[in-house]
Amino acid sequence: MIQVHQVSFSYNELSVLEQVSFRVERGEFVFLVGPSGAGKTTLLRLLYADLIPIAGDLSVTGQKLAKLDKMSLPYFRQKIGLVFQDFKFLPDKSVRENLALPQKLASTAPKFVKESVDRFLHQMGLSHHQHALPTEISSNERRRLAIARAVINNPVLLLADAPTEGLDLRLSLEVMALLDALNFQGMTVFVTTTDRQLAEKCNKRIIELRDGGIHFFSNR
Amino acid sequence: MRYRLKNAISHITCAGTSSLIGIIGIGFITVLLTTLLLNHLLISQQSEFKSYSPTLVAFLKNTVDEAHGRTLVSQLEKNGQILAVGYTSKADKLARGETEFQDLGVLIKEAFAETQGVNPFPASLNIYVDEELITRKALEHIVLEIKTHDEIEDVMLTGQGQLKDRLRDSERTTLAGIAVASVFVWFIIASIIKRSAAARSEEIYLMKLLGMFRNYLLTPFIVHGLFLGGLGAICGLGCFYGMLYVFQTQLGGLYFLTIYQIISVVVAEMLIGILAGFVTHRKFA
Repeated sequence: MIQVHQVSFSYNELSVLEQVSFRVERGEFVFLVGPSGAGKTTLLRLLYADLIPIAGDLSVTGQKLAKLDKMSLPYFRQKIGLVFQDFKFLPDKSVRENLALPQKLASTAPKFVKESVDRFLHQMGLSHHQHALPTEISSNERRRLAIARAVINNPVLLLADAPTEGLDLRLSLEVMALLDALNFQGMTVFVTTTDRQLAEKCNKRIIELRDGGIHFFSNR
Repeated sequence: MRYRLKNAISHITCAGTSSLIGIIGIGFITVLLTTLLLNHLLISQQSEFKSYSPTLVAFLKNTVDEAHGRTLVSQLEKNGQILAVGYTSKADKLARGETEFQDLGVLIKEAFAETQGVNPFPASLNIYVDEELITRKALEHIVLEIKTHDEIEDVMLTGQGQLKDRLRDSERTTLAGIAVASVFVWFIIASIIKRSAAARSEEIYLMKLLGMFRNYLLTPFIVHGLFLGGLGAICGLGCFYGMLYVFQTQLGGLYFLTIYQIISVVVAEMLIGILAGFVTHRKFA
């Protein structure tokens, strides 16, 4: 599902990733752990082709990212669900409109958009907030909204950037249970976190990123 | 389609007051452009109205009889630059006076018949020159040459040539005006669309990350361009018509563009809007 081979990246002179290599198979649930500034978000941005590596090859969902052009990029991104660290909601749009956005972008028929938005709002316990703005709901509800938006198009791969950041252990495990349920349905899940203990508690494969390189692999 | 339209409306509202200022700017340019177009149309209509009148009229002296006059016609026709020469006798002129000067012509004709006095109308030669091919200088040269004949009292330029010159000048000015106006309208529309896109840059970035197709963004850019171009043109034409209506009583004889010309102005500015939207979209998509 994900193949990262000898990938390097730097912001101007500052090297962030150096010859990083790893693989994630279809249907796996993998944690990418590492301290702040280790390059987790950068690696994730490379995986959804928001950044271009200075060296190495990346292949995601069977697509070699070096061969992506402007025409094929939207098709590639529609196969991936993204949970951003800062959520990236449209602040002037309601919870419902934010949730419906990926489906609208995929030109889904309005009838089906309504159906799936209603279903996800219900599943995530956000129905009573559907007309509220994202700033008017709690942090945990925003997180659930972000996950719902990422998976509403039924992607094959979910990339979640620090989805438990700032949550206590109970709420973190709640989010992880949600992601685990998605993984159980066959979705490949790739999660970044700074909380190694949480990753170990979840009993999933862990890749540790430190000082721009991979330092640790665990096979559960 | 509904989402795309909603997206377009949201794009237009993002520009806020810039859109309003842009519409006023485009309207002002349209008023200037319409002034040039109307001026050109008026000259062109005058020119068409006078297209059958001769370029020059040479008046013969009273002493010249018809036979002599006709000899002069054949002499003048030998000049390669003159297309044709027509002879109008004193008697013809007197008869024509009735239609041309109406009551006064009738009065003159009756006085001439009763008294058998001197016919006040001179015999004349109507001289036709191809004005498309001839320059003003060459025309003046022909006039001087005709004046060298002793039979000629005076030579008059009917103004048809001058009108053609004015028509050519106004054609050039109007074309330059259209080009300048197009550039300004393009600049205004592109600036406003860019401003609107900049205000939505985070939203556009997010939509790209979520798999937005390039043409999803194309719709709001083009609709915004259409909106600015179309509304600006309609406002400008409306203002011009209003001014024309107010001043019509003082100036008189003025009329507005025809419906086809109005549609052409609006469609042209809408097309500029579409193109500006399309080009700007390529920078953001």
